Amino acid sequence: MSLPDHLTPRRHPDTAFRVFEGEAVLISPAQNMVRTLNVTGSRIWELMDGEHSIADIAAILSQEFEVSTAHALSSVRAFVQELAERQLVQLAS
Amino acid sequence: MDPYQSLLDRLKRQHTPYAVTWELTHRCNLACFMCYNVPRAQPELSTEEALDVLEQLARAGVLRLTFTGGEVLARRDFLTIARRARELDFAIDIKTNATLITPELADELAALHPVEVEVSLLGATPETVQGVMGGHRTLNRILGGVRLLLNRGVRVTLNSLMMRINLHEREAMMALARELGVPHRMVFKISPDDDGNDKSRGQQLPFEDMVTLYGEMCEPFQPRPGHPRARTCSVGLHACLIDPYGVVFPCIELRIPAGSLRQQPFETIWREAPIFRELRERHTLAHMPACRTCPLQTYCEGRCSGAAWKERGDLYAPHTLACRQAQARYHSLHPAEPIPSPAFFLEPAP
Ligand code: SF4
Repeated sequence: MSLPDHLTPRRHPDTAFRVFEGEAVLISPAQNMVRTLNVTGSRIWELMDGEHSIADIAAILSQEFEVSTAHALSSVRAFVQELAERQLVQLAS
Repeated sequence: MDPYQSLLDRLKRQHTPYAVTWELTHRCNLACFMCYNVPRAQPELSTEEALDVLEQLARAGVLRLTFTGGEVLARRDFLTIARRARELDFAIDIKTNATLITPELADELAALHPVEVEVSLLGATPETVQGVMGGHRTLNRILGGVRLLLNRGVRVTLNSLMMRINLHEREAMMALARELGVPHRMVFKISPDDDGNDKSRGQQLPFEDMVTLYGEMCEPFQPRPGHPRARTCSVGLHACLIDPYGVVFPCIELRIPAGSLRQQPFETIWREAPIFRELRERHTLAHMPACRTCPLQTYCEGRCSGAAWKERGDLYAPHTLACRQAQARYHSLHPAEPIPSPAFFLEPAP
């Protein structure tokens, strides 16, 4: 089941991160995990500030990366879902 | 290659400051006899100054921030600084003796979500710990502090500096760590003081004990050939140290000042300080004639420019402890063969 587009994902407050030339490094003490994100993933990560909904993020991505909104939406949903399962983001409606 | 490792390699190549160790204070409630801090008669950074430094480090791209001391928890504003660091998305590590941790403070520390809290364990009996660290009921208080953190889900690692005085309690320290369910690290390097005074040299482990310890270590060791462009460590590339007075150094061991944050912005010091430039350009085997031609070079893991500078006044020289450790490593792997001597080494290995 995919996530509703009005949800606003927010980076988990225990996760530390920095973006180096578009590439994010996340460190999650709770998950004992270090992870790097590619340029698209990093942009989504930056936009997960609890203000932007999944739909907002997809719209921004589709503009910035010149992809269709449908394609951006499915990428954002899948990515947010994966990070939520790993407890790297929290979801609010 | 693992994407994180390749990113780190890129940051080193680009000289991006990724990790900073910050001695927040030289004050401490204990008095370890081998402590290398040399407190100065000048004020430590104020809360306001420290918060400004945090902003500068975040802008410069620093992600890993290790708070150490002295005893960090002896600083009354530690939580203010650490909370701000978390708001700025730093991943923080905390080094502490754990003796000042109360249940309330443990709650606050857990809420910071540190990657790791590293606690020094310098013995397994009250007498030895007291002998090394001083204080009152010190071992009990250390273990109490560690349990308070563990109960709140904080990841703790015990770190034991192995010395003549505590070597006989090594097994018991490992057992304590097992009992607590935490990782245990052992290190053999007793650093000279920040001003080069080698007062604790006599506590350095005897050669035969180094050989035994290397023999018992689980990780397999592969001799590594070094080419002239290889670095013996990555000092100056992506990490540095800040002392309590705001002075930036290349690392905790190498106390050649790069600049003061009271006089210059961090980024200027990081990019322009002569010591950083020199280390970036020259800190390779090509500039270490003794090490480059040393028969033990492929067994040598511990050469440290800071230690060489303190011992020999030469950043590119070998130093006694590294050479001894390389010989011990060699001997543990080839017990029947004669131990080669590094070219410079003064006394033959026992
Ligand atoms: S053993 Fe000594 S001389 Fe040889 S490489 Fe190591 S530090 Fe240099």
